[in-house]
Amino acid sequence: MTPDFPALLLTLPTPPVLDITLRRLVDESALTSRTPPDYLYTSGYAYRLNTRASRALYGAEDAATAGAEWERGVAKSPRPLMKQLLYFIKVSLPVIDLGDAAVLAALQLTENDLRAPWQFASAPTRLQLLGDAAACQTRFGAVRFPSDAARARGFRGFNLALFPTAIVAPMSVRILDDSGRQLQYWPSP
Amino acid sequence: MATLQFAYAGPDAAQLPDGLAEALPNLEWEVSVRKLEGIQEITPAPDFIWVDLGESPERSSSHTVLKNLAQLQKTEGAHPFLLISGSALAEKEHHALAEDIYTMLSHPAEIVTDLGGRPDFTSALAKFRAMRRKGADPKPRKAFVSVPRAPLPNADLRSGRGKLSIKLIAELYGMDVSEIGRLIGRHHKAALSKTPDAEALQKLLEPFADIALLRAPGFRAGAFRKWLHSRNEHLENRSPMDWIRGGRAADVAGFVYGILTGQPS
Repeated sequence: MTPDFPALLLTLPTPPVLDITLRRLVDESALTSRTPPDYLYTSGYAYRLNTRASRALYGAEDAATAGAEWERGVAKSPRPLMKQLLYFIKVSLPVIDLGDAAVLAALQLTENDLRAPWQFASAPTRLQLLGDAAACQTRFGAVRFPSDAARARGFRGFNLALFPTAIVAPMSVRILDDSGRQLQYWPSP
Repeated sequence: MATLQFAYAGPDAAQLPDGLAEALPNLEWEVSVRKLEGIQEITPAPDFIWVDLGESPERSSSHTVLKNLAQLQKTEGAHPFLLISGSALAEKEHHALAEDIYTMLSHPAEIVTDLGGRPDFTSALAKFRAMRRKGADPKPRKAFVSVPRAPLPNADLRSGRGKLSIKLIAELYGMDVSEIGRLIGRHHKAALSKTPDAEALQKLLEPFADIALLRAPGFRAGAFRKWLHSRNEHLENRSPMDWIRGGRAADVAGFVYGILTGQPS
């Protein structure tokens, strides 16, 4: 039976705010296909922590993890991906930390749930339903979850799934240029 | 020899405002005067342009001037500092004009506005000098390097007005317009033929466009179509086209977009 994630999220204590700079590696064509380039673009497609009912932006806690995720995608590509961009996302928000065994247990999730296949699955996975529930509240701005691609490469890495609908002030997600000028920002003004 | 170009453009353009010539030493500045309508013809773009919209400018005419200025800002190598003045505006028009200026023009840090009727040219000039002194000019003209710009991805799937076209997408995919129409829930063939780039189709066509982002110079339309029709071990050994025809274009798009954006799988 699927856990009642909206109710379970209410039982989690509010954690301290996580201040971190996330990394994303993307193909140049994906970034430039929107004019102007949208660094906080959420496609609305289903991924590990969201169904098409909610929007999420993913980033890795370090470049090694972002690289592991990128390489896993490259292996599925029918053509070489030669021009990718690495950019940073500065975030400051409380997260639902699936790297914390106590949080995992409180949400009635297991290690297997973290790795359950989701692509072209006939029904949403538990993690996707958790993400959809996270997108509908405003106590947590993101879900922190272990990277399966990093694990496959023999190291421990984490990603964050950021939910624009959950991110309210004083939480923040910022894209800065080299001079420190703010290019994009959540919550949206 | 003057090293900096200054242009003044006003509604009458008869002469420079009082005191302006004295503020711009001949050896340093080459000064020209224009009518407002002639701004876009100034080449090369001056270092400093004072645009005087005059008394109570009409919104339509100031709009045209700003449009021309925006065009001038886009000229290769151009990076003019702008002083924009005008006067005797009612509060509502004042607000609208200020919004227009900072919405239509780029580089707001290099724009000084004075819409109260007493333009402070001295302060604007001091700001210009300070910015140049600090090397704040992000595009020094002499260092300008022209880099060939690659075409925007999927530009060939867009109509002349920049909208995704179901007709162009159908051609790329080797499908009928009516079949794609059916897949996106738009069954009126006549309407699709009449306005293949209709606004109502844009969101619905996005998955097809995102899948097409796979194309690249080494992976053109032919290779893309071959991929569409080939079994794929990452898609449960079905072809992308099988999934698309089964109404799962968004899932195929998520797969492709996930590859291109390094999404955690």
